[in-house]
Amino acid sequence: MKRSIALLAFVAFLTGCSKSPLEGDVLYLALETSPNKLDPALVIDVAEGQICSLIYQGLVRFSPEGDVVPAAATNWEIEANGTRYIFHLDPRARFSNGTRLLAKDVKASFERVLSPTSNSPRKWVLDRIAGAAEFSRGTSESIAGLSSPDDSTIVIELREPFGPFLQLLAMPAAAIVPTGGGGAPSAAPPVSATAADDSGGELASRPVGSGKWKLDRWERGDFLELSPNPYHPGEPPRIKRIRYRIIPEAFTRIAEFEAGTLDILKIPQAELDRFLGDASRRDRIQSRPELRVAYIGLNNTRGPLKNPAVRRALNLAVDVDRIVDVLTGGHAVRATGAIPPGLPGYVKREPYAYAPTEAGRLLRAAGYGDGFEIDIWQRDSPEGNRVVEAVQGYLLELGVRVRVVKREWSAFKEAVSRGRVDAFFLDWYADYPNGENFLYPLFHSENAGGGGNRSFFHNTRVDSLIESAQRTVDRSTCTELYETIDGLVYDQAPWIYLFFPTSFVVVSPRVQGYTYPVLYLGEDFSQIILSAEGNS
Amino acid sequence: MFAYTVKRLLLFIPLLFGVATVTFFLVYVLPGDPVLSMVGERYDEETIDQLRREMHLDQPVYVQYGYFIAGLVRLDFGTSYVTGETVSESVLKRFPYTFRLALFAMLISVVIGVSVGVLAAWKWRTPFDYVTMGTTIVGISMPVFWLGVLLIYVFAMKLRVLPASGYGGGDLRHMILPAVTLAQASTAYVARITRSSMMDVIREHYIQTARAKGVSEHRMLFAHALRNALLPVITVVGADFGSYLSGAVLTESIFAWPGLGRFTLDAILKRDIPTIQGAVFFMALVFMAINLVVDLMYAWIDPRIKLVGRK
Amino acid sequence: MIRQIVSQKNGLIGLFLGLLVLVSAVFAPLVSPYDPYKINMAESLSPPSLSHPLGTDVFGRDVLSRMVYGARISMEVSVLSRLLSLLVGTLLGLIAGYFGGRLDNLVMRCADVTLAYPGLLLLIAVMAAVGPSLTSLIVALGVVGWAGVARIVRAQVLSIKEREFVLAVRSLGGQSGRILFRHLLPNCVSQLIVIFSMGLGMGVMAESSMSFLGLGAQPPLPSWGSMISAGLDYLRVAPWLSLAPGIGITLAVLGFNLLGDAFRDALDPKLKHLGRRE
Repeated sequence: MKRSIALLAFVAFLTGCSKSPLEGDVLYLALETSPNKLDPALVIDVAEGQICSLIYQGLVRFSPEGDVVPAAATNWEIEANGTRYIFHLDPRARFSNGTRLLAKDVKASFERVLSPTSNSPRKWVLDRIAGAAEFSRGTSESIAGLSSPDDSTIVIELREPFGPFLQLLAMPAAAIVPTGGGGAPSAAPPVSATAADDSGGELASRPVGSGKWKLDRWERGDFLELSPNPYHPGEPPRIKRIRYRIIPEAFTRIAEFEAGTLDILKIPQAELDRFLGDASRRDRIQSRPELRVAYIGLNNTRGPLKNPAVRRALNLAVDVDRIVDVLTGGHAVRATGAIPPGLPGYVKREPYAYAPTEAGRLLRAAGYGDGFEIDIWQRDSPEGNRVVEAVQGYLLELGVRVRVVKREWSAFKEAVSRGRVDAFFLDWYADYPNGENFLYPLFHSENAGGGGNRSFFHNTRVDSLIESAQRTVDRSTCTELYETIDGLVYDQAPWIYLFFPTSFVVVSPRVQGYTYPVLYLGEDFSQIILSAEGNS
Repeated sequence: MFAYTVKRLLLFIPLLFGVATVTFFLVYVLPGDPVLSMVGERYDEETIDQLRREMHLDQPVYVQYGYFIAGLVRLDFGTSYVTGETVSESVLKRFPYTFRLALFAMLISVVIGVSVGVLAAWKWRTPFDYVTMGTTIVGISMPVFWLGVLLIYVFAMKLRVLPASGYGGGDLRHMILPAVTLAQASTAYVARITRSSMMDVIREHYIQTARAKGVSEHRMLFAHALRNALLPVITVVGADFGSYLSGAVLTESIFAWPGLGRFTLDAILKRDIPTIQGAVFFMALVFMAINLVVDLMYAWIDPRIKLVGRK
Repeated sequence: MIRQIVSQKNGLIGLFLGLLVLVSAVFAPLVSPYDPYKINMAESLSPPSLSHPLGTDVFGRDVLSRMVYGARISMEVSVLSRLLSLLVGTLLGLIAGYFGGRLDNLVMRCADVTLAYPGLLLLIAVMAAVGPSLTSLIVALGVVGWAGVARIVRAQVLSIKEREFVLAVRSLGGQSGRILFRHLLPNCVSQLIVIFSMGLGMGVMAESSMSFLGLGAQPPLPSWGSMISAGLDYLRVAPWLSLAPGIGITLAVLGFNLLGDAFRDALDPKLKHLGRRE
C-alpha cells in the first residue's frame, strides 16, 4: 500500500501540472538565443533588442517600414540648422506600472545611460548630444544639451548637425525608463551590468517600459510571455498574449513549426527551396532584403593583406555568384559595396567577377606566386560555417591556405578588434537604417578595432568624406556622398565582399495581418489576428 | 558499515576542495575577455576597464582564487556576467528540470531494461533473445545526439504524435523523446546486465535445488533469479544516473530543454566565468554525491563488497 | 588468442567492423573515390548515385570520400588519445601501486578529482579552454582518461607485488625501476590490451560528440560528428548528409565494443564492468 502511494506520488511529480494545447489568442514565437538582460541601456544582441523594442519605447520608434514615427513624443521641431530638437510628449503616455511618462523621465533615462558610473555599452547612441562627453567623464553635473522647460517638453541640442540623429533616438538605448515611481527627480539610477545595485539589476530582470507590451513571465532558458500594456494609449493589439519560446537549434524550430506549435518561423536557408516549393505555404511566406552585409574582413595591416592588389586577387578568386546561388538559393544580393539595397547610397557596381587566372596573375605580380597562409576567424553559426568553408575551398585553388578558427563571441571580438587575426567572417546589421551606419563604423579610421572598423582600413580621403556626410543635412547631397565613399572603399578591397542576405518568414495558417518589418526593431505585432479556422 | 560510511564521507571533503580548485583554474585559463562579451559592437575602453574592476578581473590570480573559495564556503558563486542573476539561484532553478528528466530516463531504463532482460533470459536462445540482444548492443553504440535528431524527425515531424522540444510546462508528453534519448544506452545496458546476471544465477546450484523442490519453472525464474540479478542492475542504474548529467548536455541542447546541461554549455560558450564555475562545480558535486550513494548502497546490499571499491 | 576471438560470433563481427574502419583510415587516399576537400558547387547536394554512392554535400564534395577520411580522423583521435591515457595512467598506476604511501595517496586523490566530473562536461570545459582543434582534443581526451587506467593498473600491481617472484627479485636487491618495468608491467599487459580495445569505441564516440558541438575537428576536416551537425540543416532536403555519418559512428563504435568484449572474455573476464562510456 505504502509502496503504491509512493509510486503515485512519483508519477504525479513526473507528470507535473496540466498539458498546454495551443491557445486561441496567444501568438507562439521562437527566439534563437535566450535574452540575458532586458534593460534597454544594456541591450547588445538581437533577442534582447527584439523584446526590449516591444516593452519599451523612446521618444520615437521605427515603423515596420523602417521610418521614424512618433512614440512617446507626438511631434517635434528641428531648429538651428539641425542642431536643436524640440519634442512634445504624449500626455497620455504611461508606463506599464501606471505612472505617467514625464520629461524628467526622459532626462533621467538619458543620464543613466551616459552617467560616469554607467556600464552601458551603448553610450555612443547618445554621445552626439552637446555636453554628453563631459557628463560621462564626470566633469559636468548635467548634460548641457538636454533640458525640459516643462513636464511635456524635451529640448535636445547637438554638438553639430547629425543626419541620422532621429534614427538613433529610436534605438533601445534611447528608450525611456521610469524614474523612481513619479516622485521628485532623483539622481540617475546607475546602470550596472553586474547588478551591484538593485535598480540596474531590477530593470534587467523585471523590465518596466511604456511600449505596447509588458513582460508577464520569464522562465530563463524556457520562455517569455508578454501581454498588452494596459496603459498604452491608442488601439490595443488584437491578441492577448505573445509567448516566446527559446529554441536554439534551427532543426528543432522547424520541427515545431511543422507540428503547428509555432506561428512565425524565420526559414533557414537550407529549407528555403522546400518551403517556397510548397504550394500550400507559398502565400504565407514573406521576404525582405535585410539591412545586413556579410563579408570576410581582411586585416589591411597584416602581411600580404597590406597590398590592395592581393586583396583584389582574393576577391577575384571567390565565385560569389555561385556561393549566393548555392548557399542562399539565389536569394541574396551580391555585395559590391557595404551599403545594402533599400538604403540610400546603395549602388550596384561592376563586381570583382570570378577570374581565378587573373587572381593568380595578380598574386604572382605581388610576389606571392606560391600562395600564403591565412587564418579566417568566425563565430559558430550554421550559415556562416558554410560560407567560410566555401571561401576556404576557393582560396585553396588560388594557393592561399586558410585555417578556419571558430571562437565564441568574446574571444572572437577580442582577437579581431585588437588586430591579431588575418581575416574574419562577420555580418554587420544596421543599428539604424542609414548608409552612414555602414560607413562610419566600418571604414573610418577613428573606429579602427573595437569601433567596428576591424579590417583596420585607413584612408584619409574616406575619413574626411564620411565626416562631411555626417554633417550634411540635405538628403540628396548626403546620398551622393555615401555612394562616392562606398565606391572608393570597394576599389581598395578591404574585404572579400560577399552578399546582402534576404530573409524569409512563414506564418502559420491562423495568423493574419502580419507584416514582416524591415527592421526587427519595428516589430510590434499590433495588427495580427489569430483566426480559429487555422486550428486543427 | 558505519566506519565505511564515515570514511567515505571524510574523503568527500578534500575531494570537493580538489574539484573546486581544478574548476577554478580550468575556467581561469579560458581564452577571450569576458568583458567583451558584455559590451556590444561599438564600445569604449573606459567602460571596459570599469567592468573589469567591478568583476575583480584586474586582480592577480591568487586574489581571484581567494574570492572564489571564500564565496564557495558560503555557497555563493557571485553574479553572472551575462544575466546579472545570482549564480547559485540560477543553478538551483535549472537543476530540477535536469533532475526530472534524469528520473524519468531512469524509470524508462529500469522498467524497459529489466523487462527486456528478463524476457530475453526467459526466452534464452530463441529469436527474441537474439533480436533484443542485437538491438541493445546497437543501442549502446548509437550517438546520443544522432538518436535525438532521428526521434524528432520520426515522431515529431513525420508522425506528429509527440512534441518536438521544450519543457511544455511540465506536460509529460514533452518529456518522452528527450528521456528516451537520454535513457537509450542505459536501457540497453540494463537489459544486457539483467539477462546475463539472470543467466549466471540460473546456472547456480541453488536454483537446481529449487527446481528439485518442484517449484514451477516460471516462479523460479522470478522469485530467485530476479532477486539475485538485481544487485548488478542497481549498480549500473546508479552509475548511469550520474552519466545522465553528461548526456544532458547534448540532449537538452537538441530538445531545447531548460535544464542544467544546456545552461552549463551556454555558460561555457559565453565565457560567463562565475556561472561556469558554479554550474560545473555543482554538476561535479551532484555526480560525486550520486556515486557516493551508489557505493554506500552497494556496500549495504552486499557486505562482501565493502572497502574493495567499485571501479 | 585471435582464434578465441574469431570463434565467437560477436568477436568476428567486431573484428570485421574494426578492420573495416581501420583499413579505411589507413588507406584513405587509396580507398576514397574523390578528393574529400575538393569543392564543386555545381554538384551541390546531389543525391546518392552511381558516381557518388553516398551523394554529395552542399559544397558538392563526395560524401563517401569524406566518410573514409572521417574514419581516419576518428581513428587518429581515438587511438592516440587512448595511448596517451594508457601511458600516463600506467605510469602513475605502477608508481602508486608499487611505492604506496603518500605517493599512492596523492596519485589516487588526483584520480578521484578527475573522475568526479561528468566526463563530457570536463571535456567541453577543457576544449573551450584550450581552443578547438584535433591536437587539443587528443590531449584533452587522453588526459581526462588517465584516471580510470591508473586505478586498474594500481589494483593489479597491488595484487601481484607481494607474490613470491616479485619478493624474490626484491630480496636479491633488484632496483625499483627494473622491478616495475621488467616484472610488474608485463603482468598488466593483458589488462592494458583490454582497456585499450574497449576504449576505442568510447574514443570514437567522444570525438564525434565534441565535433558535433563544434569543439573538435575544424573545417574542412571531415569528422563524422561535424558532418552530422552540418547535415542537420539539410535533414529533409538531403538526409544522406547526416544519416551516413550517423551510421558510420554507430557501426564503428559497435565494432570496437564487440571487439573489446571479445578481448576481455579472452584475456581477463574479471574486467566485466569496465567502463563502456564516460
